Amino acid sequence: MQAVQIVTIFGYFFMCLAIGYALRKRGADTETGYLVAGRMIGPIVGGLSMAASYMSAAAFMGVAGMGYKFGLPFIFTVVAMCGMGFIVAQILIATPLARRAKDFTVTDYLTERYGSQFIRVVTPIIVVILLATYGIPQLKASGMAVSKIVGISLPWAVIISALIFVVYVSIGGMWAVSITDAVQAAIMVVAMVFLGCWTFFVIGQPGELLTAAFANNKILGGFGLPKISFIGAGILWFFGVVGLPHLVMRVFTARGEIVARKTLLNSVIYFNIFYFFGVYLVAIVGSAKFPGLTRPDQCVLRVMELVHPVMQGILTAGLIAAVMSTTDTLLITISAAISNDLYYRLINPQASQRKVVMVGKISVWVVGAVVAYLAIQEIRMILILVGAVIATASSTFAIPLIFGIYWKDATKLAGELGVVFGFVVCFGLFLLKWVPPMSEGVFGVAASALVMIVVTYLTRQKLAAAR
Amino acid sequence: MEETKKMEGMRDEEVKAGMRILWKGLVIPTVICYLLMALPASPGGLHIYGWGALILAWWIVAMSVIYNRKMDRIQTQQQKK
Repeated sequence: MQAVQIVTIFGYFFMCLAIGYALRKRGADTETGYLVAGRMIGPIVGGLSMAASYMSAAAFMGVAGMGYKFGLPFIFTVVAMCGMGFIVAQILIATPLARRAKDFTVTDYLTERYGSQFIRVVTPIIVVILLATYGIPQLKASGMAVSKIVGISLPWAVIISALIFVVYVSIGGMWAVSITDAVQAAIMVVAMVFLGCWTFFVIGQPGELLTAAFANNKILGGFGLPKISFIGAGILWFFGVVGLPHLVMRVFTARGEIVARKTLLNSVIYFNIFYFFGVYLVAIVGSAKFPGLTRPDQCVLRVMELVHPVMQGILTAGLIAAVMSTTDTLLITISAAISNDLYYRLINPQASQRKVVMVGKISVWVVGAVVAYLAIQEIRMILILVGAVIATASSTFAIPLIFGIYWKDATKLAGELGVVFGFVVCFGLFLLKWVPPMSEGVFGVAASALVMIVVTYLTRQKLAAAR
Repeated sequence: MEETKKMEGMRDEEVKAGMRILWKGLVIPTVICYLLMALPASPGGLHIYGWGALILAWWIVAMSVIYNRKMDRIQTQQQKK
């Protein structure tokens, strides 16, 4: 069993490096090639890679556990509201952003729309801090999986994992990230659907399993959390798709606006298949066969014990794929924030394309090293902060982005304060714990929207009077 | 600037199509789905809100397909003009 898993993991690492090497020339010299894959990604690869970027280790392992602990309606809320985020992004964001041929990042769009140097400086700094924090537990999860399977210490496993990410991202840029993510998404979907369908339909009897699951786990069909948390979690996942910088950046990689829309449509389809034919069935099988788990996140691992060792190896690859697909996207987005937003647009606008790409590659190595160092440390605070990352990023960027596109009157000061208030309110509430869990993002988004509306109204009148 | 003007020129029809899907196809079904939380019924062991969210997730896929087709049709008509 262990030999199969070792071969699978190293084969998998080799494949990622080979993809990065094969695509090295496409992303080598130009900023467009390195940061947005020459804006040449099609709808199938784009859809798979976007879904993979959003499905982290938490989606692969955690959501089935959440279904086990908080009930199946929780899984359906996650899927429905993520899907809602994808279609709203398709309607509100995909077409206008895909038409902007000069933009690479969220910062590019916000800076030009609001004409603000403040946003040019503050936004990339927020992006780097939030996404690097998000990368720490991802890298740690990858290190833990490699450490357990290969039998090496955690620090070495984290260093090896980080080295793999950094090498293929720095060599192949967004091309390598997109292609590897598409392969990773395919592995994740196939592995999870196989696990769900095989254990539900082949190993067990569906009728008996359902009866046993609902009898063993009384919460399975109902609400294991306060109902307000279901609403808060739904809004959090919804704005996660609309406002996360590494997902918005995917729109810039699409081969035109039609492809951008189809990319988001494909993501919803992959997402639904992954959850309904995989995760949902795993939660039922887990409840029927393994009642009373003290750690619900063990649900997937316990159900994995029911299948053949070779399949377990592929499922382990699926787990590593979930981690890798999120981490490499984070690295390339951070690289874009440093090389394009800070270095090229602020520090050295005369820099050649080759130099900007070089700065991007160096920043991948530096950020990779820092994240790996922090992943090795036992810093509890970081794990607490990670919960805040998705909600904070969404609160910071979603409203200024949507208002910027659809509200012509939204002013520069409103855009600046929308970014600042969204960030401060959401992050502050996480630290102060004044509101129910998973609802911080709702307040952050509301604060950002309210500030933008009030400030636009006030400053628009002043501007009109001054004219 | 040229690009912005072009975008704004195409906006009205596209935005109207998007907003129709957004309100009638997404917001209203989502509100109805969340209102199901208040009901006590649990057909087949799963709370009725769970059934609602399950249907909503696939309804969203259907809306996404419909929106894409609508946008394709609008853009084809604009190209003919």
